[in-house]
Amino acid sequence: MNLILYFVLLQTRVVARFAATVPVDPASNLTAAAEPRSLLAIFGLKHDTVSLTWTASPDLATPATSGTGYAVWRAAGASSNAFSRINSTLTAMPNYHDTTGNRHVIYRYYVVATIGQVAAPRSNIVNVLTP
Amino acid sequence: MQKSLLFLAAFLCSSSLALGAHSVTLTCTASIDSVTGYNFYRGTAAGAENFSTPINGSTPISTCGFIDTNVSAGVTYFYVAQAVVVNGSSTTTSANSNEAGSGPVPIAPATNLKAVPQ
Repeated sequence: MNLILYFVLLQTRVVARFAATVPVDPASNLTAAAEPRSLLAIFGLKHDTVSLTWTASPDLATPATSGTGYAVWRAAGASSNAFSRINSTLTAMPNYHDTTGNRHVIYRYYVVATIGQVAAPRSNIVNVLTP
Repeated sequence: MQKSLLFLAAFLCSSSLALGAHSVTLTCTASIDSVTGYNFYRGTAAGAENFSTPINGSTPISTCGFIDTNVSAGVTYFYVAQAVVVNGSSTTTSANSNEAGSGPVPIAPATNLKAVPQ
């Protein structure tokens, strides 16, 4: 038990230290915070996730109404611009949990407010390293 | 008496992200005749302007331009203008100007995106 606890604490420190060196896109309002992996994730009982939050467009209600919402885009790699959309339907609330990523990968994200066929300019891009 | 109009309308969209408000700026070339003012009409489809009420209210605008602030993001609007001559109790309007579309009113983007691995 003590050995397991030591391993957990060691990995927590390693993850936190590694995350502090994650390259950050120079876009404004960009923040990325690394958190230690949960015990469930460490023991494979839970998928690694990235939680995204953003300030809602003032033109969209919260939650967004039918035909409006947010498209979430992701690229893999610290400097990659090969973004692909990861939510098949528009997200109504200004948050999203990405459970489709892999471990130890730097992902880049942005979101786009959408009303019908009209899209807003994209949000800032944020980089994050998965645990 | 019909007043002739030559409108070369240029419609521009502008938006204010801070207030979440939008507007469509209408500009046009004035009538070559001496007129009292101009009324502006709006629709959300081409050829479907609502002529029952000018968007500028009951008083014609003295200059050939108007800022429409009663618009929504993501919607395309269509406008026409009419010159108005008021002579005592008699009001005469011109034929319609050309119709101009605004294009989609811009949508303010989401901001302050944050990502936290869990």
